[in-house]
Order: sequence, then C-alpha cells, then structure tokens
Amino acid sequence: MRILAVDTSTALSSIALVDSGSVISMASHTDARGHLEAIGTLFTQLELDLNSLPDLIACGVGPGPYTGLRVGIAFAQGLSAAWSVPVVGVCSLDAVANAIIREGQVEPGSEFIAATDARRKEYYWAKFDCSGTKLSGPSVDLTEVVASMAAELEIPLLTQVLPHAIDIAACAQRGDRHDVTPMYLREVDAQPSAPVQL
Amino acid sequence: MNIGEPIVLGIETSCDETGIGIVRGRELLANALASSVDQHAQFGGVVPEVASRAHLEAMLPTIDLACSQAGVSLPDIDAIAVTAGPGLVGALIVGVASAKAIALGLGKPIYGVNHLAAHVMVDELEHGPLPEPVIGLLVSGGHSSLIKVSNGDFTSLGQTLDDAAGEAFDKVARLLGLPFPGGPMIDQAAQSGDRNAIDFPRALRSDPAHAFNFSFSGLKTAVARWVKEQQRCGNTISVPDVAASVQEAIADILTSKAIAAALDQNAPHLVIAGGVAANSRLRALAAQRCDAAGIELRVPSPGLCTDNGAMVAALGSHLLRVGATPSPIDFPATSTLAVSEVLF
Ligand SMILES: [Zn+2]
Repeated sequence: MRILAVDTSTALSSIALVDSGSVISMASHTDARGHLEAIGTLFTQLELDLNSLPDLIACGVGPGPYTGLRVGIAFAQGLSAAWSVPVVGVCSLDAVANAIIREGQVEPGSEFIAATDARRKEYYWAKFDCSGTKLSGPSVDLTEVVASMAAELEIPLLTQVLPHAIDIAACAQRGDRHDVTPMYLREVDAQPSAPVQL
Repeated sequence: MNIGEPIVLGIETSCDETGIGIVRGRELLANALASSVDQHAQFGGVVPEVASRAHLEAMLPTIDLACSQAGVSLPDIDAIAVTAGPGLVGALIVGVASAKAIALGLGKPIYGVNHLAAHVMVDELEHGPLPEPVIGLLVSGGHSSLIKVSNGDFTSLGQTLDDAAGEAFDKVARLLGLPFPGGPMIDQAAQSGDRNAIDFPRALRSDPAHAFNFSFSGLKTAVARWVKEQQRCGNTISVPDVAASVQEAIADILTSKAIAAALDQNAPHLVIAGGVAANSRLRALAAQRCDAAGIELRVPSPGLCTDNGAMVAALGSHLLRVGATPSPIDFPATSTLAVSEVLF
C-alpha cells in the first residue's frame, strides 16, 4: 500500500511517500511558525507522479500547537478532495513513539512517556509500552507534572523526538488510525466579553 | 453558457465564513457557505480560534456542496484562487493550506489573492465587466474603505481610522441590548423608527485631511452618552428611533464620502460591497444620491456582498483572464494586506 503522509504538529513539518514500509521519498523543514509557507515546497520536493496516486493519505492530527497543526490537516484533506483518495488521521504522539522505538531508544519490556512541546510550560504526552502501544494519553499537562509522573513510574520521559511523516505512515499502515479531527485537548479559552457599560 | 472559459475555484476563510465558489469566466456556478457566526454570538464578536476550528471542519463538506451545485468535480477546475489576506491569520491559513493542496494535487495554478479586491470584483458575476475607473465602497464588520479600480490597478483612497462600519453597528446593537451580529438587528429595529429623531455626529465630515477616511468609534460613545442622559432624565428610550438615527448617521457619511470620491476621481461608477451593503438604508440613500449625481450604482445581491467564495473565484477568474502570473507555492497568509496588493 502506498501512503502519502504529512505531519505539521511540531516545529518539524514533514511529508513522505511510503510504499508498504519502504520510503520512496520524503522532505522536511524545521520552523516553528512557517508551516504554511513550507508545506507546498515540501510536497513538490516529493516529485510525486500525479498519474500514479497513493492509495491512502495519512496526516498527523496532533496533539500540537493549533495553527501549525491545522496546516497539515487542511493540506491532507485538500489532497484527499483533489484525488478522491481516502484520508485518515494518526495521533502524532503515536508517530513519536514509533520513531523512538525505531531508533532503539527503549529497552525491551519497558514503558516510556513520549512528550512534545505544548507551549505555556506544558507538554503534550502519552505513555507507551515497548511495542508502541499507547497505554494512556494523549493529554496536556505542565512539564513538571509530566516529569514527576515519569520519575514516580521510574520510566523514561522522552521529549526530544519529533513526529515525522514516515512514522505517521508506519502507524497508518499498521492500523493506528483516527478520524481526521485535530486533537486540540484544550478548550478555546475565549470568555464571553463583558456587557458594554452605559 | 461560456463552455470555452476556464473554471475557477475560490476559497474564502478570512473571518467566520467558510466560502467556496466556482465560476466559469464571469458566470457564477456555485457559491457554497458554512458559517460559524452562531458559535461567536455568545462572545459578542468573532473569536479567532473558534473560527479557525470551524473552517477546518467545514472545508471538505463545503467544497463538496459547491461542486454539486456547479455540477463539476475538482479535476474539472482550471485554476484555484484563495484569500491570502487581509483577515484573521489562523483562519486564512486553513483556506490557503487547503487551496495549495488542491492546486498541487491537480497540477493547476494557484492565486493567493486580496480579500478586499475580491469584494469589488464579485460584482462582475452579476453586472458584467467592471467599468473603469470605478469606485468601490467596501463596508463590513472588518473593513470600511474606499477603493479606486483603474486599468486593473486597485488603489486605496481612504479607510476607517478606527472601527469598521459593521463594528459600529455591532457595538451600538449591544448598547441597545440587541443580539450579535448587530447590523441586521439595527436595520430591522430602524424600520419603525424616525431617522431624524437624534442628530448623531458624522465624524470627519468636512476634514480635508481625511476627505475619504472614516471614523466610527466616536459614534458608539455618542450613543452611549445619549442613552445615559435620557436615563438620567427618566425618559424612555425608543430603540427604533436610536437604531434609525444611528443607521442614518452611518449611511449618510458612507454615501456622501463615496460620491465625493467618485466625483473627485472622475469615476462615474460606484460599487458597494461587504456585509453592510445589505443595509436597507445604505442602499436606498446610495441609490438616491448616485441618481442625483449621475453616478451608476452597482450593488451585488446580499449573498455576494457578505464574505463568500464566489468573490474570490471572480477575482481569480479576472487574474487568469488578464494573464497574471500565478502565486509562488510558498506564499503566506497575512493579517494586513493593502488593497493595491491584489495578488501574491
Ligand atoms: Zn470581507
């Protein structure tokens, strides 16, 4: 199965074309604010043949900072509409866990917490076993809370790995799929404005 | 039917309306809309994050709706146009990212365009090619500006120095206890009121330094002061009279400056666009004054005046017709964009 995968849930924007586990082409760009500017160029760098479309589109649905996150999801949705190819969502932390395991950062039999920057001194995090199965999360909490939880459980807290499209494709390939709905995890913090004083 | 003309898809997400329009040349094929206005009502104004979330959710269903209205599928599209600014950046980004994907996925050109210019250009879909030079009076909750279109160039003649006209309607509506959005509510309440009941100020009426600029922030203050004074004196307040008088003040200043601009620029045509163009008093007063001044008045129907995708498609179609260079694929979305920057 040929999967076109996208993720913009962190400062790393990435896109990849993966055929049954082997990477055909990929491109990435790191910029915490420039997802929209980068995404089109990354797509062209894939040099995809428009006469030979992928079977599936997979996009990271976060959790991640909203504005960047929506770039990748909107882009994946747009490709899906243009091509009439189905699109699925993948939890971006599942992709992080996949990368951590792929890179051999986890001892066999152990659990770990994967976390990414949620700004406001918070992490987006989830707990996984060594096979990449999610045990809890995704959630958003203060960095110190997540750190003390990991310390209490005596499991590693891994915060330096960013989700990449090749891991999004791997998760989609093995069936870790979600709706194409962003995992915001926080309510919109807008208060109804106070009545105007006469 | 203009079978030979290119089909253009337009995407608009600068504020709280997800608009998808499809045109063939100057023929309107579809104008599909999803609005998050109800979700903002409880906040008394548009909340950017709420709007951005709603755009992403509405995007594919609205594209599907537009395609079925037009009887086309996306591969039939010859070019894509999308609002790149001005507007709420988070909201714009959803539209631009979607548009880039469709353009790249189909291998078709993309135009990242100016929302303000699109508001004026939409008139071509109903009234044919825009005569030039033409003056555009653009009035909505987000903008109040006077624009000149000449030889395909858009020039700003003036704009509001503070609140937009639609914002003034919203704020006064809240003072009067009327719900958001205020424009239609004021218009409705004003139907049974006396527009000459209260003489509210017309800011910058005769300030030569601001001949084509507007200012509406003082109006809200004046209304608030007037209401307070009446309450102090124990007088009952007639909401219809206040609504009609405020509406008169706004319509008066907008139309008098628009006509002054048309005469000053030797442009005997005026297009009024934007959500406030749906206001009944503004339309009536503009018609009367244009008639007296020998100016042709063009006002698109209400569905094309408020933010919509067809206007973006109309501008894209125009750019395609004049052979404009498509936008580079890395173009951004931007909150501020001068009307003279029609295209990225
Ligand atoms: Zn507008």
